[in-house]
Amino acid sequence: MEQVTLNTADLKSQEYFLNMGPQHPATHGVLRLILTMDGEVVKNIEPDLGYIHRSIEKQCEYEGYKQIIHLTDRMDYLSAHINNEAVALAIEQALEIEVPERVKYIRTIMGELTRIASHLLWWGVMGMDVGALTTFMYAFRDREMINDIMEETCGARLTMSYSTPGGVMFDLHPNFHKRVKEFIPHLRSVIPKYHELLSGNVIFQKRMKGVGKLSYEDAISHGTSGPVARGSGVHSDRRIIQPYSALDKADFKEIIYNEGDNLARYMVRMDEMLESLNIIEQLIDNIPDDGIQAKTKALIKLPKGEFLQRVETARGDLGVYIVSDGKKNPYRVKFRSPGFSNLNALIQIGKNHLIADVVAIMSTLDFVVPDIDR
Amino acid sequence: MSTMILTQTNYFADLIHYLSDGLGWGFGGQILGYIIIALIYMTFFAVAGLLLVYLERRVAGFFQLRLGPNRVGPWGLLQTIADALKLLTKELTGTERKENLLYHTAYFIVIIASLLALSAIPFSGGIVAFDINIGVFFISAISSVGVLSILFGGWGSNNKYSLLGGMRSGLQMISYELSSGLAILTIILMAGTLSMTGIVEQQRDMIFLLKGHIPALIAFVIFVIAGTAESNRTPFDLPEGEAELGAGYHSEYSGMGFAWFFLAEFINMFIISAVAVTLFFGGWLAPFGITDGLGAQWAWGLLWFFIKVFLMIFLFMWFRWTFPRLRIDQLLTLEWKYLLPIGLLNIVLMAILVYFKLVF
Amino acid sequence: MTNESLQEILKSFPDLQFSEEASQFLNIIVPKEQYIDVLNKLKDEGFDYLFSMTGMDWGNELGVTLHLERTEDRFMIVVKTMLEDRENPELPTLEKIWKTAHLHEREIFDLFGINFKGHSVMKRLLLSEDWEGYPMRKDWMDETKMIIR
Repeated sequence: MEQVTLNTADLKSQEYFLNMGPQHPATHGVLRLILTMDGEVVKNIEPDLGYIHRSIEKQCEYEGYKQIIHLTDRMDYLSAHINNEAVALAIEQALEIEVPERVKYIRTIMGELTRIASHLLWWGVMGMDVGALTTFMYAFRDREMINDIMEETCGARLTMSYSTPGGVMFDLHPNFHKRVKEFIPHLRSVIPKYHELLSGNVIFQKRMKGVGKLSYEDAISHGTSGPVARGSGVHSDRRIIQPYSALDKADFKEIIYNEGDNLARYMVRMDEMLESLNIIEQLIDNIPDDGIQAKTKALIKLPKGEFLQRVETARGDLGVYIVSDGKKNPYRVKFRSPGFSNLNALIQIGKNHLIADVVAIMSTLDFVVPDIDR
Repeated sequence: MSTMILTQTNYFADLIHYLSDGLGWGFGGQILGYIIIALIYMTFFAVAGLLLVYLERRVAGFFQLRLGPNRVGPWGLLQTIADALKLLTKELTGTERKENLLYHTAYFIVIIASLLALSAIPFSGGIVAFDINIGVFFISAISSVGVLSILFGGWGSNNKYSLLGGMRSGLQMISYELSSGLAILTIILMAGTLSMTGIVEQQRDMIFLLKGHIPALIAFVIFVIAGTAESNRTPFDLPEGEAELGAGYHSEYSGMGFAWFFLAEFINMFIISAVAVTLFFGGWLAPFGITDGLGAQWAWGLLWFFIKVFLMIFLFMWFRWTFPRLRIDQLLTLEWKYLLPIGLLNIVLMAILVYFKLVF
Repeated sequence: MTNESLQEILKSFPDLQFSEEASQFLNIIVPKEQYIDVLNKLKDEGFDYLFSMTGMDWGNELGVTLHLERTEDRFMIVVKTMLEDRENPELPTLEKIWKTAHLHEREIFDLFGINFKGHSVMKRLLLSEDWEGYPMRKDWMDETKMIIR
């Protein structure tokens, strides 16, 4: 038999495509990523969206202004109330309506509760993605308390449709005050335990520290916002730059971490939960009592022009851009969703990482795919 | 080396002796005896597997502040039987172009390996099916055969996710067998024998974990880490990392094929716990000899053995529901850069201590 | 920066129309030929945050509306471009200036049909590859998929 010598320089590895398909436990919704891989290292990511595209923008062109609000719930369903608030604020800005103070306080408190609920769910799913399956149960147990508060006042647990142009739909339930005051110390006592369980764990730190770096310039260039940008040092909290509703009456600080890796984004969200508790605590005792709806016409028509309203959802910077030509339906409505730009960042961050890292990175970027697809 | 006096008889050997010579059935009696022993072990395999699955779900519920299964049967004990019935009646799917030979032999190999390893474990004084004088070595070698099944399953499924899972698992198991082997060797240095029953007999005065103090403690920690990796459990469950790969190497199996993999994982965990209990905690011996004077020693031995194994299994389940999972390169770094050097130094340390008679 | 100082800086570009009515920001209407030059100049002036890129159909013309912001002083402007050609509308790509334009331009191509020259992946994003037509245009009508009361 002749001798066969193997020259390792002739060995080539071939890149292959791996489909992280629309049905996958880790992609937080129906997102399809086509990964080009070399062994276990990801060389290129191409997102394929559209599995939950419901053409909300086109639909808005055929609906009245009061009906648009119900469509926006379904975009980013985890911060549904803040989406509603954005559209209501845009319409109020256009019509120059002054809403009662009570409405502002209610909207802000509900918004901050929604933000906490969204971050709790994110934390539970983050643990699950990395392998610690218990965090999911703990997070949902706390989130149930918020869902109960929402259900008593708004009537729904997830898609609230609570704000209307000029006010809110229903008044606060008599139990609201008591339940919120019970919830605040409970969450304050539980979050340090969550830090002990997950954040302090050596295995978790090794998977998060130094993984998925996003630099300051890239964060701005990719258009990221929310905790993704604040984890890279960009000051981008709309609640501080341009306070809306009752946010100027509360005193809170912006959470900034400068490292730009997974751990920084993780810590930004955990600290934001505590800051939201501060806001609620400052506002809950001083809700004024001057009505829940300003007077608006039954059929709302915006004057001709363009109106932009930006709010801070749990994911980032949501922009509602309404172009009106004076009729009863808007001419064009554009929802600038934060997840869309954050997904752009994933394409760059995920390169040259292992698959397990891509899953962890997607988890810290916190997508809700209906928000991206609209 | 201390001389060991085995005072118990081996009940299985007695059974075969009785059937072949006592009843006079000769060779046929022997065969019948073997078949009976095999049936006993397969029943144990099935019952233990079912009970362990039920236990896992209950323990998981306990850690997650919820109840586990409690509807089917008293305290939900029949839950796994309901699951087994469901799995039996499922449609057997598979991919289109799977490699039939590899795909179908994968789960058989893992059953065979687990059963063989079970046979060499001493459950009580005299209840060992295969009492050879290289018991520990045999179990360690058989566990290596189990790796084949994962590789077969991963490759034969003709699916990229399964292939990734199979490759990861193969790497992981081969690496961590080194560490677990080194930990076992450390104890063998103290015991002086590879036979499982011999090791247990030597612990009558004090369990090896205390006899060997420092090196035995280090060996125990290394063995627990390597054992979790061997049975593919969190924090080393990368091959079946749910969030990433769906189900890794067994994603394309359904029905009974999946059930075999599933059961075998729990039985592997049982085997590793049993080996740890035998090597470090005195096997089936009563702590401080409290029940040594009573009759029916085989039953007391069984009781103590199962209590100790249950505590070890609880420890493994505790790990699973608390820790996140390691990435593949972190896993390999842990093994080759940390556990292996520590294990080697530990052996040297233990050898020095034994030579200078510094162990108890 | 203020609206007036920005108009001073952009004096070198003729044919730009500035307007501040019907909107809370300064609107700049850029003709198609100077699109990429004006935007490069704006990037150099510190407009590093492309907030959103909206495809528009103004009835006769297609176009895009860009919202640009400076991170330093939160100054925002609106840049608009109109294209008369409805059959083959084309614009140069902004992908190399602001990385976020990568996905935004794919979406506009998908829903409006504007081709961005020089884009690395000019494929449809939300709809399937073999879809015909551009749904967000005002003249797109489909009996089965649209129910108009």
